[in-house]
Amino acid sequence: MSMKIPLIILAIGTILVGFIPFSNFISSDGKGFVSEMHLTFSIVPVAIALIGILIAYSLYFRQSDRPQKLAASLGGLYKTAHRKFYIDEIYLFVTKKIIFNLVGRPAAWIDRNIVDGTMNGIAWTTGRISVLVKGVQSGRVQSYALYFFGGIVVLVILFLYVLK
Amino acid sequence: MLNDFLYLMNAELLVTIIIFILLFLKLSNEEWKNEGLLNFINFLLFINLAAGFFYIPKGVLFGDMFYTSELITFEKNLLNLGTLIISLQSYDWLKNHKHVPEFYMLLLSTLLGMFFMISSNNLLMFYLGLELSTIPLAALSNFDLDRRRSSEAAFKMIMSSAFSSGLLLFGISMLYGTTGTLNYIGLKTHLTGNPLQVFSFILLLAGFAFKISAVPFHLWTADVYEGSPVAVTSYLSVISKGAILFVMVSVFYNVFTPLAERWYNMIFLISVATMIIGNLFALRQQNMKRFLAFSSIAQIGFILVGFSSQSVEGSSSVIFFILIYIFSNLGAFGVISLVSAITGKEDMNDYKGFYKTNKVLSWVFAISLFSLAGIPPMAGFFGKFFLLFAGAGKGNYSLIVIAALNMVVSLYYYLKVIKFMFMDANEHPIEKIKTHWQPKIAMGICVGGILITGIASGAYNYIHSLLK
Amino acid sequence: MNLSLLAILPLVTAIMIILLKGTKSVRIISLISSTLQLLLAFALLYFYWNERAMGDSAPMLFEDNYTWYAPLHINYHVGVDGISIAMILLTAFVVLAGVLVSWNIGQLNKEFFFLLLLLSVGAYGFFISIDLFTLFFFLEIAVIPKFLLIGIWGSGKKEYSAMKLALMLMAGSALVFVGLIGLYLNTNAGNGQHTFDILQIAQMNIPLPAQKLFFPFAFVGFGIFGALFPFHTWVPDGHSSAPTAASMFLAGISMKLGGYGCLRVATYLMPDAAHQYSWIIIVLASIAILYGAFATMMQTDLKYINAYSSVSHCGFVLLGIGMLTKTAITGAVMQMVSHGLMTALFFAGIGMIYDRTHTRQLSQLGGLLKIMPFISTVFVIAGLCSLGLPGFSGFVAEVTVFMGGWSRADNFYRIATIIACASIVVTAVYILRAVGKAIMGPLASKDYSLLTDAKWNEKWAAALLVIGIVAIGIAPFWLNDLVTPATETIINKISAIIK
Repeated sequence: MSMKIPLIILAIGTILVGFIPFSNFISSDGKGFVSEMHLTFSIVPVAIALIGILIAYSLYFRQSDRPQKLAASLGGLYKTAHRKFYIDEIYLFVTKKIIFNLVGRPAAWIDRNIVDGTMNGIAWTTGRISVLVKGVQSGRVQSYALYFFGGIVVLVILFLYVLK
Repeated sequence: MLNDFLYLMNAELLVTIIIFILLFLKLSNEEWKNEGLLNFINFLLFINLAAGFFYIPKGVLFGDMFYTSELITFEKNLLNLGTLIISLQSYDWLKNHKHVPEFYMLLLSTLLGMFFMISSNNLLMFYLGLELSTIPLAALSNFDLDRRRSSEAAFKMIMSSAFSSGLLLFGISMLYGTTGTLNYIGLKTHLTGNPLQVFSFILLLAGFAFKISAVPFHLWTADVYEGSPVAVTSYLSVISKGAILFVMVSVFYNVFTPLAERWYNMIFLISVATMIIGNLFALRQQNMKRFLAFSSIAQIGFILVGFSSQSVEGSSSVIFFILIYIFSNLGAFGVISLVSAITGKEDMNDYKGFYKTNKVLSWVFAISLFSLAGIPPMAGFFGKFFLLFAGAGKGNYSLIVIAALNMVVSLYYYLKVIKFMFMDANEHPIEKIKTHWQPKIAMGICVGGILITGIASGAYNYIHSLLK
Repeated sequence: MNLSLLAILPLVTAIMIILLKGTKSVRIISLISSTLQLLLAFALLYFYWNERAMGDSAPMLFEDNYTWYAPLHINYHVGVDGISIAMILLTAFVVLAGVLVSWNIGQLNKEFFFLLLLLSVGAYGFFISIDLFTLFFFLEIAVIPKFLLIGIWGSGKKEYSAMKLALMLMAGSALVFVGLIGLYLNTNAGNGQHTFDILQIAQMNIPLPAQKLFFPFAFVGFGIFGALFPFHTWVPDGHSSAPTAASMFLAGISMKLGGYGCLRVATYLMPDAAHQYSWIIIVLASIAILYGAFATMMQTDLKYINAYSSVSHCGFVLLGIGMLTKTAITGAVMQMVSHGLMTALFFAGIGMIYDRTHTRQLSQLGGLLKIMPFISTVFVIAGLCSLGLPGFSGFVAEVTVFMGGWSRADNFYRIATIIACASIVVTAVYILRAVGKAIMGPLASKDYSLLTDAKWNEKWAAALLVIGIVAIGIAPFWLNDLVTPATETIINKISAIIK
C-alpha cells in the first residue's frame, strides 16, 4: 500500500511529461530538437515487451509447475540466462587475466626494468669506463713522461702524416 | 727612457718592490709575529691590486720584447685579485707556519714570472717568464714541510716541468731555425706551415697543454694538487692556468694564424679528450683536493672549446671564464683550506653532514660548486654558455654536443658533494669552524663575484671591447 | 604593467626569508608573498583583457626589452600572450597551494620556503621570457632547488630520485642548449647578424636543413621536461620521493615547462621541421598516454599512481602539439593548465593522507571516508577530474584535444585519437580502484580511527585548487578565449606550410 501512491504519481508523470516541450528550454537557439519517428524502431521493442509480459503472466500469475517444466526442457539455455549470460565472469576474466596480466603487468615491468634500466645502465657504464681507465694515473713519474711523449707522437703522426 | 721603463713596467716593479720589502723583513733580526706580518703582507697585496687600476699603460720595451696594453693590464689585475684572495684564505694555515716571508717571496716571484710571460712579445721572454713562474712553484709545493706527500708533489712537479720545458725549448729553437726570428710579429710573417714548423708548433702546444693540464699532458696534476698545501693547489689551479691561457690567447690568435686550420683540429682533439678524461676520473675521487684537480681538468676542456673558435667571441669568452673561474674555484678552495687548516681533514666522506654544523660555509661551497657546474644564476652558467656558444661559431656542432653531455656528467660529481654536505648524516661531522675576518672577506669576494658577474653584463662587455 | 614584478617579488621574498629568524615569520611571509603573486597574476589577466578589448593585437603585450649582452645579441626581453598568462595563473595557484600545504613542514623550513620561492622565480621568469637565452636561464634556475627539495625533505629513496631527476633534467637542458645555439646561428637578422629574440625569429625563415637538425634537439630536450616517452623515467621516482609541495610543483608546473617549451620554442620557431616530425611526436605521445595508463594500473603506491598518471596526462599535451591544428594546440594548453591544477590537488590529498597514516601503500589504506571526510572528498574530486568527468577541467581539455585530432581527415591522426580516447577507460580503472580502496570499505587499521581531518591550511589549499578546476570545467570559455588568439598566431605559420 505504501509504495502504490508514489508509483501511481510517477506513472502519471511519466505519461504526461512527454508532452512538455522540454527541448525548447535547453537548446542554444530556443528551437526544439526535431527528429523523425521510425515506426520499426518503436513497434518491435514494444511488441517484444508485451509478449514478455504475456509469458510472465502465463507462467507466474498462478501457482503451477509450468516454470519448472520450461526450465527443465530448456536445460543449458536456462542456466546461461539464469547466470546473466556469464557477462560478469567474462568481464572479470578479460580485465584480470588478459588486460592486467598481459598488458598492464608487462607495461609496468618494461618501465621499471627496460626504460629505467637503460638510464641506470648508462650511469653504470660511465662508472665502469671510469674504473677501467683509472690505471693510467699510476703515480709513477716515468710513465707520466712516457704518456706525455706519446701524446706528442700521436699529434705529430696525425697532423703531419695522416691529415695533410 | 727611464720614464718609459717606470710607466710601462709598473705592475712588475710593484711586485718586485714587495719582494724586496719581504726580503728585508726576513733579514732583519726582529721576531715578527705571524699575524701582524700576514696583515701587513695582505695590505701590500691589496695596494698592488688597487694600483693596477690607476694607470693603464700601453707600449713596448726592450727592443720589442716586452709589450703591454689595456688588455694585458686587465689580465694582470685578474691575477693580482686571485693572489690576494688566495693569500687571505691561507691565513689560518700560514699563521702557524714558520716561514711566512719565504712563502710570499716565492709566491710573488711566480707572479712576477707570469707577468713577464703575459707581457712578452718574444718567445725568449716568454720562456724566461715561464721558467721564473715554474721553479718557485715547485718549491712552494713542498711547503707542508712535515708531510712526505708534499715533497713527493714537489719532486713530481719539478721533474715533469723540466721534461716539458725541455721539449718546449726544443720547439722554440726549431721555430727560430725555420723562421729566423723569435719576435711574435716577425714569426707571424715568416710562418709558412711547412712540416718542421708544424712539428715545433706541436711541441709548443705540448708545453702549453702541460701547464694547463690538458689531456694527455695532465698526469702530474692530480698527484701535485693532492700533495701540495691547499693554498698552493688553489694557486696552481687558478692563477697558473689563467696566466698560461692568457698567453695562449695572444700567441695562438695573433702569432700562429697561418696555422689556424691545423691548430683548430689539434685543440678539438685535446678538448674532447680533456673533458671526457677529466670527468671520468673526477667521478671516483675521494680526496677533496684531487677531486678539484680533476674537476679543473674538465673545466679546461670546456675552456678549450671556446678557445677553438678563433673568433673575438672565443677569446673574450675565455678571458671572461677565467675571471669567473677565479671566483668559483677559489670559493671552493677557500672552504677546503679552512677545513684543512683547522681540522686537517681532506677526505670527501668527512664532509658528510657539513650543513648541520657549518651552515654558511656549506652555502659558500655549494654556490661555488654550482658555479663550476654551470647552474644559473651563478656566473659559471654564463661563462660556460658563452664558451660553448663561441665554439659553435665554427659550425662544428659535434663538439658542442659532446661538451653539453659532459656538463651532465660533471653535474653528477658536483651534486655528489652537495649530497654529502646537505643530505647525508654523519656521526662525527666537522665541528663548527671559527675563523678570522681575512678568510671571511676572501670568501665574501668570491661569492659576490659569482653572483654578480654573470647577471651584470659589464665585465663581459668590457672584455669584448678590449679584444675587438 | 611591469612583468618582471612577477619574478622579482618571489626573489625579494626569498632573500628576506634568508635574513629572517624564526619559523612563524617565514611561513607567514611566504604566504603573504604567494597571495600577492596570485593577485598580481589576476591583475595581469585583467589588464591583458583590457588591452585586447581596446584593440591591441600585437602578438605579445607588456613587452620590456633591455640590452643585456650586446656583443652576443642577448637581451632581457619579456612579454606575455594568452598562453603565457594561462601558465602564470596556474603557477600562482599551485605555488600558493603548495605554501599552504607545507605549513607544518618541520625541519629546516627556512630553507624549504626559500627553495620553493626560487622555483617559482624560475617558473615565472620562464613563462614571461621571449628571448631564448633568458628563457633558458630561467629554465635552468629551477633544476637545483628541485634536487635539494627532493633530497633533503623527501621520503623513500630520495637521494637516488633526486640525483636521477637532476641529471635527466640537465640532459634535457643540454639538448635544448644545443638546439638553441643551432637555431641562433642560423638566424639572419640583417647584415649577417644573429638574434635570440623569439618574436624576430618567428618572422624569419630558418633554412630547412638547420630546422631538421635542431628541431629534434629542442623538442626532445623540452620533452624530457614534459615526460616524452621514453625519457619519462625521472617522473615516477622523482615525484614519489618528493615532499608534497615539491611534488605539486614538479608535476603541476615543472612538467609544463617542457610542454610550453615544445610549443613556444620548437614548434613556433621551427614550423617546417615540426610538420615533418609530427608523426613521430604523435606516435611517441600516444605510446606515452596508453603505456603510462597501463603501467599506472599495476602500481600499489598512491604517489606512484599519480606520478605515472602524470606521464599519461602529459602525453595529451604532446599529442595536442603534434597534431598541429588550432583546436588541438588549444587543447594542449588547456590540458597543461587543467592537469597542473588536478595533479597538484591529487598530490596535496595524498600528502595529507600520508602525513596522518604514514603509508602510501593501497593495501594498508581503507575506510578513510569515515574519519577524514574532507580529505576523502578532495581525493575523489581529484580522481574524477583525472578520469575526465564533465564538470571538471580534465574533460574540457581532453575533449578539445580529441576534437582537434579528429578534425584532420587522415587515418593516422584519427587512429592516434582513438588510442588516446581508449586510455580514458584505463584511467578510470586505476583511479576508481585507488580511490575506492583507499577511501571506502572498512577501516584498514584500528589506529586510523584516531586520525584527524584536514586543518585550515590544507582546506584552503584544496579549496583553491578545486575552484580552479571547477572554473575551467564549468565555464571553459574564458580560458578558451584567452588562449585561442595566441594559438592562432602559432598555427598561421604552420597552416601555410601544410597547405
